[in-house]
Amino acid sequence: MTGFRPKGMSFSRYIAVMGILFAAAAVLNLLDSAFSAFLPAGIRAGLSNIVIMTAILGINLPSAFLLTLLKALLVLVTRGFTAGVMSFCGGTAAFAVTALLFGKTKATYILVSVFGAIFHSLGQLAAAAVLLETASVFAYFALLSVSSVITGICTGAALKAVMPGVLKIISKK
Amino acid sequence: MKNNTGERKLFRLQDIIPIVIMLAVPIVYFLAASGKDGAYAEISRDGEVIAAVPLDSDGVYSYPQTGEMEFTVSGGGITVSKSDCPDKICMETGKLCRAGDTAVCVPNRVVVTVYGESGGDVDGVVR
Repeated sequence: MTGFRPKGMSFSRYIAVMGILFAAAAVLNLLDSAFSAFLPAGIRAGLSNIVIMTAILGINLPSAFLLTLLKALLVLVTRGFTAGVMSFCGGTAAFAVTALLFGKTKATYILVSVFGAIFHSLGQLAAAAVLLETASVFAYFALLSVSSVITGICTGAALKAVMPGVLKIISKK
Repeated sequence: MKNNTGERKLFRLQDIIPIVIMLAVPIVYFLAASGKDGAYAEISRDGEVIAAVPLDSDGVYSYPQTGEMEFTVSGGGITVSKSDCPDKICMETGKLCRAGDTAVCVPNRVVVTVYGESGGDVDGVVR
């Protein structure tokens, strides 16, 4: 587990924190599925991305990517192969751009979150384009970019609101 | 990386510029590509065209290559009216009427795209 657990954090605390974060991601993912019934075709609110962003800011990049992989695995098990592959590609793209913006710039929470949401959509569409061997899936991008901006603003605000509490849990001795 | 959370702001006014650009580019591209009434719909699987259905020939269509899927043409548009995929995104996409409109079923690897006037002119297609 070298590289995953931050220095100074006990092993048991690390396992507990990661367990809580993954459980939160799983529940938010379930909420996403519930909400998607009321949204236009293919749109999900992306609430579980809040957890990944929390881990990027509060723990470290390897742990955040591990959560991204676990989330894709959960989707693979609960919603099937296609959804799992698309979650992995969308999640990885969102993770990369979020990590870059949080690590290297002073971009605001909302801006980072909107970029993350848009790259999540792009990653998913790229996966769909490869699976289908056609680029016509990008016809969905206009709709997805609008929904990404809206959900990005919401998740960015939520992230800013929960971050102090999460940091307290993570760094408590 | 914990250090840079404190000074990070929720939102700055200049954030609006990149956000508007990210909204405007796909929307303008989409509006420029669609518009004309569709003439026929192409149904393809794995990028290979299975059928081209004229949008004025009402009826329910199904093909051996697309399994359980059914496509309904009515009122100058086409819908995916039946599919065995888990998410039903293809069905929820609704009626495709205008050139460039596309419904995608990723689990079944099926794409339905509406094209404008017959054949050669692919002006109205989002590729």
